[in-house]
Amino acid sequence: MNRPERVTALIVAAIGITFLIGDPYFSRIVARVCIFAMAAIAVDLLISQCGLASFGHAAFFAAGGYTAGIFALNGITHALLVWGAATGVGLFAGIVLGSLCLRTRGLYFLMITLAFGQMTYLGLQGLRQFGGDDGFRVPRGAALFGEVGLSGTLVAAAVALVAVVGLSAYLRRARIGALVRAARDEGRRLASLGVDARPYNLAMFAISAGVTALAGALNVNLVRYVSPELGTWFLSGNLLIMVIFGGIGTLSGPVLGAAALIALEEVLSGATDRWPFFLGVAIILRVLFWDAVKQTAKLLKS
Amino acid sequence: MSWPLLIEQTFNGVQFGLVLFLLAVGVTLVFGVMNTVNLAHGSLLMMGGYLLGEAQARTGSWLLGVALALIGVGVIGYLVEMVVVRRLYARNHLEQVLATFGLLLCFNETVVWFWGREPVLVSLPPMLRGHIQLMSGIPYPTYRLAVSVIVLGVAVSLWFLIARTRIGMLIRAGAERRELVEALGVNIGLLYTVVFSLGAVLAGLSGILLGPLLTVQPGMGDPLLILALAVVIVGGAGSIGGTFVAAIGLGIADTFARTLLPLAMGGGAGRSLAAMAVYLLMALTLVFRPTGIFGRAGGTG
Repeated sequence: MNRPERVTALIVAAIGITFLIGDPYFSRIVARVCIFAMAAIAVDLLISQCGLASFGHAAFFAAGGYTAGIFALNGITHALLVWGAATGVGLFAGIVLGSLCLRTRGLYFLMITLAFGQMTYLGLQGLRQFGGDDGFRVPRGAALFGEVGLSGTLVAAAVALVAVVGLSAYLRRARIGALVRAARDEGRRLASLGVDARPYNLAMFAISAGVTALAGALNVNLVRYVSPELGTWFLSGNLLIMVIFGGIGTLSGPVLGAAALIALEEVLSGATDRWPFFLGVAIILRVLFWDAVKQTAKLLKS
Repeated sequence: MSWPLLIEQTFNGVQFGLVLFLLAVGVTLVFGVMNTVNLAHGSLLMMGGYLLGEAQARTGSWLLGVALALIGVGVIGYLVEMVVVRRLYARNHLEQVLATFGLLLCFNETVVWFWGREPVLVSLPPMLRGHIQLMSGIPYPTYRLAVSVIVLGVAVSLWFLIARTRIGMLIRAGAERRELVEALGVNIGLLYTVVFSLGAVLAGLSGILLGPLLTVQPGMGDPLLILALAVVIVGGAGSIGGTFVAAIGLGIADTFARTLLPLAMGGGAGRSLAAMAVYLLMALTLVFRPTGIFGRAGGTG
């Protein structure tokens, strides 16, 4: 499923069903799926187009969350302003960190993003005025025609997700997508043609960071709490796992991956206290045996 | 800062660096020889701490506990390599990172399963309790000094193993030209298993030694693993000498940053800046010398 219209239809259908069910607990889960799907798309964009796996995207998620939280603390709650500012902070952080991180590739890129992610996490812990290690409760949610409640957040997350799917589809088709893919596969040839791919990679990184920060801000509207935990490397790892679960490089992959991982978490945590163990097993099995399963399925079909 | 404090912190830094080296050397060996990233390496450290606690409780002896824990971690490392890690060697780094991240989740929960969430107590052997005088007026915990001595002994043995024995020669050759070693008829699968298990035992030993200094609890190895990754990056992935120097350097830098910055800047900000210091060094290394300070340019990439 690589057509944006189909992915959009899928998302709209899922939101429609959620409203029909009308259960707040379920709505909350679907909103979370939308939010993390956005961040996963942002991570996938870097992996599939630029060939760069980031292990530090939680930093941007946390940056968006803190921006929204701090705005709310200061009484600024206009939704478009808050979410716009969070995206802006993400873009800016993406440009700054990206210009440093993009000097490396491959495993070293993974490591430098991990380093910056850890620095952000530890830095947030040092923000005494914002609760230090514990973080703070967000007094008011963002407001647009009145405070954006649970269903409002669900709609906002879904709209944002559809927009991000569209953006991702556009970036893949556009000149920038072709250029970063060329830099990924044939860096030397591209350079010998006189094309400097760095600004394009940087733009991709910044966009990816901005989208992740927006997801972080929306997440705060859902959970009404901000803490350094938003920036742990476990979250960065989870985003990568969502991408891998859904399959790298497709439009629907990150969305389905986010849905699968969050659903798996919900089901497992309902069934057993030891759910992270089974989650770990599921991840290992997915990485090790999925290709083999697909090949067998193909063989059986033919 | 007074002289006694300076000397004490230097000793602490070196000791911390030495234990980091034990952990990082496994990461760098697995990376250098198998071109594989292993995030579950910190879990092996944690298993060392837990197995020591359990063996101590059962046998009542520190030395016996250490021996049993080392054997236990070695067996766990062997099994992990055989069941999971072996299948990852041919995969890309992202898949390796994710699968070993899954392993890490499994380890953390297994530990909760067996021992619960409460920290496990690990006691010191009687002869290593108390302090000795480094110089007149500077007492220093005997155990910390003993840790440094033990790790130095291990480091020298490791150097001997790698530089002077046949298996070490194969490990070095494997790190340089994997395909060639395989083509010469060396059982490369066995070599990989040996390297991974060796790394596991060393990680376990670091957990055993750190057990009484830190708290033995679920996930205790994870922050240390990230520090070890920083050490490996700064030292140059695959270079054991570089890893040693980087470990000591980062150990001292971390210890001093944690002592000085809170003093200079006051509580919260100083503490978190201090904790960031190591990652700052890691990021700077990656920006300016991506192959590490001691890595060969254009080495394993």
